[in-house]
Amino acid sequence: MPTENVDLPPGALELLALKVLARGPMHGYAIVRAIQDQGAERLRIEEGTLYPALHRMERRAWLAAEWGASESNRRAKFYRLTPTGRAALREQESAWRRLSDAVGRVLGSPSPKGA
Amino acid sequence: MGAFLERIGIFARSPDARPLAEIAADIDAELEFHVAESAHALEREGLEPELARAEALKRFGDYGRIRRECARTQMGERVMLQRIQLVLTGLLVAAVGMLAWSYQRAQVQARAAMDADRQATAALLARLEAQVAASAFPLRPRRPDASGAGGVTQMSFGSGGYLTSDGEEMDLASAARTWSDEFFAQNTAWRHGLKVAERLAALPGAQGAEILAQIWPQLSVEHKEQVMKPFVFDGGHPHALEVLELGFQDDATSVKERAVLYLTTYAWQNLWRGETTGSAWFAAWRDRPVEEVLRQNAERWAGQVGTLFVDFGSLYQNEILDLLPVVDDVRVETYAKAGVDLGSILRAHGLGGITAAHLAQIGDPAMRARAAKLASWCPAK
Repeated sequence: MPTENVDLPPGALELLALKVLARGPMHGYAIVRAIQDQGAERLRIEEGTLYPALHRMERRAWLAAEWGASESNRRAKFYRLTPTGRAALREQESAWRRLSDAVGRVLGSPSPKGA
Repeated sequence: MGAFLERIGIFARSPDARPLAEIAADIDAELEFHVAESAHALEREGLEPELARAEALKRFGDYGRIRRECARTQMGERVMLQRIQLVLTGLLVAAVGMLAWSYQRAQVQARAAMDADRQATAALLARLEAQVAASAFPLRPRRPDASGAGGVTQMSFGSGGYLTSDGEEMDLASAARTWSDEFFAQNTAWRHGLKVAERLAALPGAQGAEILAQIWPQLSVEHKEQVMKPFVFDGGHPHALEVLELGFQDDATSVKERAVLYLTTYAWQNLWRGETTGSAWFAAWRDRPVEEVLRQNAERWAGQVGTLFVDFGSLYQNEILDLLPVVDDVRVETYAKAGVDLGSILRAHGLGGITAAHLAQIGDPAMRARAAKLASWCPAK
């Protein structure tokens, strides 16, 4: 089975970050590690692109952030989900699943005759 | 709906109020933490530190672009708001400046208009004062008051004080209109004009002459021929010369002829010799008291005749033939009413003592009649 990496579609990184943060506050590096540890290692993620997405969600008040000490005792910025962000996660997760089902049904259906 | 509200910023946080340098430093610290943590992890996997950092940066992506995107997200709105604020502030300052400039300009224009008004008023007052000062009759006697005390009062412009044809007091223009109406009631009847003029001449002080000057252009020729009489026949009227000058300068020949005739009593000469002579005479005498005009003109004539009058034979000298005819037109009553002793003036110049025997020696009847008339004015004492 080929192990070729795939690019994330637009908006997917935000959804993944929200999902990871649902477990609790994390800094950006930990969020990336968590996404990759969750089995998305085959997803080709340019790690730095997470930060503009985090900042956008912070501006939308989906996330709240504060500075604290990391596991290595270094100064790091920790993000956590706000109630608004939690609602957004539910909405985006539902939308993703509907999209995925629809795409899957189309891809799983038999080819038309003569095709 | 939620997306729309989000887009317009209902749910968005207010812009970060911290200094831009502090926000930029936070972004750098956050990104640098990620690269450092990633490099450490790679080092723990066995990579050399330099290689580990290089690999960490590679996995991170385009550091500069990501940093700019973060800065734009964090500060873009604020920079935009600052720009809007700057533009609005500029517009406000410009608007305030325009308002201040407009206000100041309006003030300057209003001040200039007020100055111009003030200067015009001052010029008008100066002109009026000059006219009053130049007037031959700055003091206008008023009618005696109820107590009969009367007196002379300085009249001010626009204060009224001119008597109408009905005896009310009004300003000059209003009073003049009533007199003009009075004349126009019978515009071609010379007797009516004479009667109205007699009432006009009886007004106190200079009022009659001033009102006559106002309405003179509107009077008919028939009335102009008559209106001079009440002012000049009585002689003592202090403004006789002003009225005579009106007649002398009139375009109607008949009016001017009468003025010249009446003027003989005052000037002791025929002023119908041309405008220059008449104008020169008025220029010399119009501002002098009537009594002085009568006295000095009579003395001048008597002096000229007295020098030539050596004996009765001299009555035929050409010079005397030119001078003597004025005797026909001089009204000696005028001198009596003005309080001027004409006889004394004539006698003082050697013209007294003409007897009947003397007159009998004059062959020309017209000259004899004139000599007789002259003799009657200065009988020997």
